[in-house]
Parts: sequence; C-alpha cells; structure tokens
Amino acid sequence: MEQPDECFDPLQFAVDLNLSDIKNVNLDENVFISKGLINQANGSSSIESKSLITQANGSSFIELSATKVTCAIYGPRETSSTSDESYSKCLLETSIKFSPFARQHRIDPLSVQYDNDEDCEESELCSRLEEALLPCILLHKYPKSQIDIIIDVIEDDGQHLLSAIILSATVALIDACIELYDTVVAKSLKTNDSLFTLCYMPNLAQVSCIFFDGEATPNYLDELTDEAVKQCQLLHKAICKVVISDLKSAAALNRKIV
Amino acid sequence: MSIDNYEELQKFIDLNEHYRTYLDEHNNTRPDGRKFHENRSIQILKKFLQHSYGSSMIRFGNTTVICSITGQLAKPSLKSLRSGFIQTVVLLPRTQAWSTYGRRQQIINENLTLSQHLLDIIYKSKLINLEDLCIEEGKWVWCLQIDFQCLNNDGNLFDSCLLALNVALHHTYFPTVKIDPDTQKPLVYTKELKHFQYNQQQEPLCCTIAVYEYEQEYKYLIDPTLEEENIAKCILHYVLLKNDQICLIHKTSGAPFSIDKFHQCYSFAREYILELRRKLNQ
Repeated sequence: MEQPDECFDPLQFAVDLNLSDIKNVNLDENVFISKGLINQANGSSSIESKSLITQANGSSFIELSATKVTCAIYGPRETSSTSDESYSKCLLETSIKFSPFARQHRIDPLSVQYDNDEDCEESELCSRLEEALLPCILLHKYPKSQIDIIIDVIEDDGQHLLSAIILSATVALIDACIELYDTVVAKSLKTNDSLFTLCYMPNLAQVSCIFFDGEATPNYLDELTDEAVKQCQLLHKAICKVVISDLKSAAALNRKIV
Repeated sequence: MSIDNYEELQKFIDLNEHYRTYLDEHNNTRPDGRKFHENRSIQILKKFLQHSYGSSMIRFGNTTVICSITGQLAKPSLKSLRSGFIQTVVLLPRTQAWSTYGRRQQIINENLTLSQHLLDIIYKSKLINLEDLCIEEGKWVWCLQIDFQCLNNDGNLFDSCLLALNVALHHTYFPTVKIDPDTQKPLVYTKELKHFQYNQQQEPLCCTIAVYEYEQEYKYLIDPTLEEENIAKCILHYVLLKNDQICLIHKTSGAPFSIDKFHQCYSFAREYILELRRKLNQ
C-alpha cells in the first residue's frame, strides 16, 4: 500500500471554526479516579485482577473533565546508575508520552524526538512532576534503587493536564505501596490566559510547589492559592475514598481465596 | 508484578510447570478459571475521545486497547488518482519494556507486524474502499490515520485491535470538505459531520488460538492471556468475515499441524466469532 508524500491537517483549512468562541466553562467537572477500570460483572467465572496495568507494581487512571491520564509505576528496582547519589537514596525516573490522538493536531508517534530539543513539552512536564513528587516520597528508605514513573496522556483538554499527571502518579504510588510522607494533590485553575497549578499535601498542610503561567497581581495569586487549596482538600477526599474502597475489596477477595 | 502468594511464585520460577501441574489437578480448566473454549469478559466503550473522528475502547479481560480514527488531507498519488490512503499504527505500552517476560526485541517487532496485518485485513477484505476516501479526483483525498494505543497487554492484542476497529468505524463522523473552485484549496466544514461510509457487510473479526502441548496432545486455548501466549507451542490467528469466509490465517511456527487440525480450529474460530458478532451488534 502506498503512503502519501505529505499530509495536511484539515483544521488548517477549516472554515467554520470560531476561535473567538469562549467555551462554556464546565463548572461541575467530572473527576474519575481508579486504580483499575471498573469491571462490570457479567456472570463470567474468571477471577480478574482489577489493576489497569498488570505488569506494573502500581497503576492508576485519572479522568478530570476531558483529560484522561494513565500512570504505571515500576519500582523500587535495582538501578543501573552508579552515581554517588544513588547510594544513599532512591532515584526517580519519569517518562511522559502523549498519545497520537491526545490533542486536536495528531502527534505522529513514529517521528523521532531528539533529547536536547528545547521546547519539548514532555520533558518539561517530567521535570515538573519530579519537583512535585520529590518532597513526598521517602527516598532514603530505598537506597541503590530507582522508581520508574511512566505516564501516558490519552487525552488533554488544555487545562487539567499537570494536575491529572500529578494525581495519577500519587494514586499509582499508593497502589505500588511505596512509602510516602503524604499524598500530593494538585489542582489547576485557568483564568483568561493564565494557568495556575498548585500541589498540596493535605495532611501536612504544606504546599509542595506552585506552577504559574501568565500575568497576575500578587493579591490575585493569593486568592488563587486559597481557592486551589480548598479544591485540593475535596480532591484528597476523593482519593481517600478510592484507596479505602479498593483496600476493602482486596481484603474481601483475599478472604475468599484463603 | 508482586509475588504475593505461592501461585505467583510458582509462575515466576517456571510458568510451564505451573500450567502442567494445574492441568494435572483440574481437568479442562485454565488457571484463571476459564474452560479451554471460553473467552474473557469483553467490555466495549464507544465514542471515547473528543478530538478524533471516531474512537472506541475495548477490554478483553485485562487487555485494554484504544482505537482512534482521524483523517488528514493529502494529494493522491499519480498512479491512482481516486484512491485515498490508510495508515495503521499500533503502539504497545512502553511499560512492556520492563516486564520480566518481555524480551525487548520481540516486543518491538510485534507491534509492527500487528500494524501491517491490520492494514492487510482492511485492504484485502475491502472494509474501507479507497475510492470512498476521495474528495476530488486528482486533487485532494483523505488519508485515514488509525491509531491503536494498547494500555495493557495481557495477551490477544489482535482480537481486541480488530474489534476496536470495527466498533470505531461504526461511529465515525467526518467533516464535509468542499473544494473552492477559485483557489483549488479545500474548505473544511467542521460543524457539518457526516457518517463515514464503509463496507459494513464485511466485519472482519479475529480469533486467536494458542496451541499448548499437554501429554502428547494439543490443547487449543482460545483467547490466550499473555502467560499462555508465552508458553504456547504456536499461536494461530483466524480472521473471518461476516459470511464465515476466511480473510487471513496466520500461524507461528512450532507445532506441526495437519489439515484436519486446521479444520478443527476453523470450527472453534467460527463459534467464537459468532459470539463476538453478537456482542458487537448489541
């Protein structure tokens, strides 16, 4: 079969796109957190594990309005790095990849991406994720090992990407039974053209980091911080609910087998 | 993958032994509780994605595959001015590279062969007519991009990808494109969507059979999990169309097969695919 020489994105030629159309902000955003996908029982006799990615130590799937992100955690496992750092604490390796259908414009998965490409969004998101997670993992408990966090962005609606990534990493870390000081809950707020993301640790009542792109006065930033902290606490309750119900069902399953 | 109990430890040490001891104790059932001819529970989700023209997500037990159909505009080749193009890409989870069973080389080749198989099936079964992708002869055609993202590989990717493709095609809507007569440039009306025309009569669906040798005879495991695929002597793929005609047979080497064994497997495949079609048309 032949392949075309050059492909054009149909959106380039779109006639009826309303760019000045401000989309209605969906005030009740749907949040869906799960460590596996919900298994609707249809009478089969097979025992299926409920985790999304079976090979991984921990995995999760987060849906925040239209953003869908899956995360898999491998670790702690032996590290191949022999640097001085690795002798005293655990190394964190993060990898984020977009699906070809994640955005309006298709991202060709077969095109090679060079590592020292400066405007590589994936590596920027990786470093932000690391910054957000480093304060909460007990790295000194896993010397000479590394934890791999692998994230697949299935769909991105522009606003919630960073918070979905951090939330999915948190839930997957809990699923992988890696020791944490506290869960990291992240919330993104979008106002006009600026995006504000806050990573919060609810039990310790500490902010792990803040990311902000745009223009704002310091007072406005204070307001945004307060608003985000309140919403983070709600998200934290949702995460707790999921973790506890998962633990209960796992305990029930174990009891059945034993 | 954590080793929590005796069963998982046994699997980790020697998968083959584990299967053999299980089959010794329980007759006619596999370790995950199914009979040999039983398939896993199937979940189908339609219209999963926002930005694609058509999408679906399929779960065969733990194997999860997302299919997304988008289109791009291209100029047709000079050999056939009316035909469009189709590109299929299968992406395996990057997480597979770290699995204990996976040998990296094997995994990288598997998705390429799968992409090519799917393209062959679409082309040979005339599921999508290339002429339907034409907008204006000689000037603009659609280039259909079919992306399969496998979130979790627990065996039987072929079946799930093909089923996902069928479900996604059923609900694909393309924007209308008209050619501006003055500038010869395409005008895309994204708000006016129309249903994608494809050959709904041909519904190619696949049945994967793993052949396992136990006590000198072959056991046919339908819808194998990843472990079963690894211990199997050979793997058979049967792709059948709606009128039970064979579209593609693919057999990996390993187990010598006579013609009557092929016929036997064909009858298994027919029953299995009949059930799949019932699921698809629900």
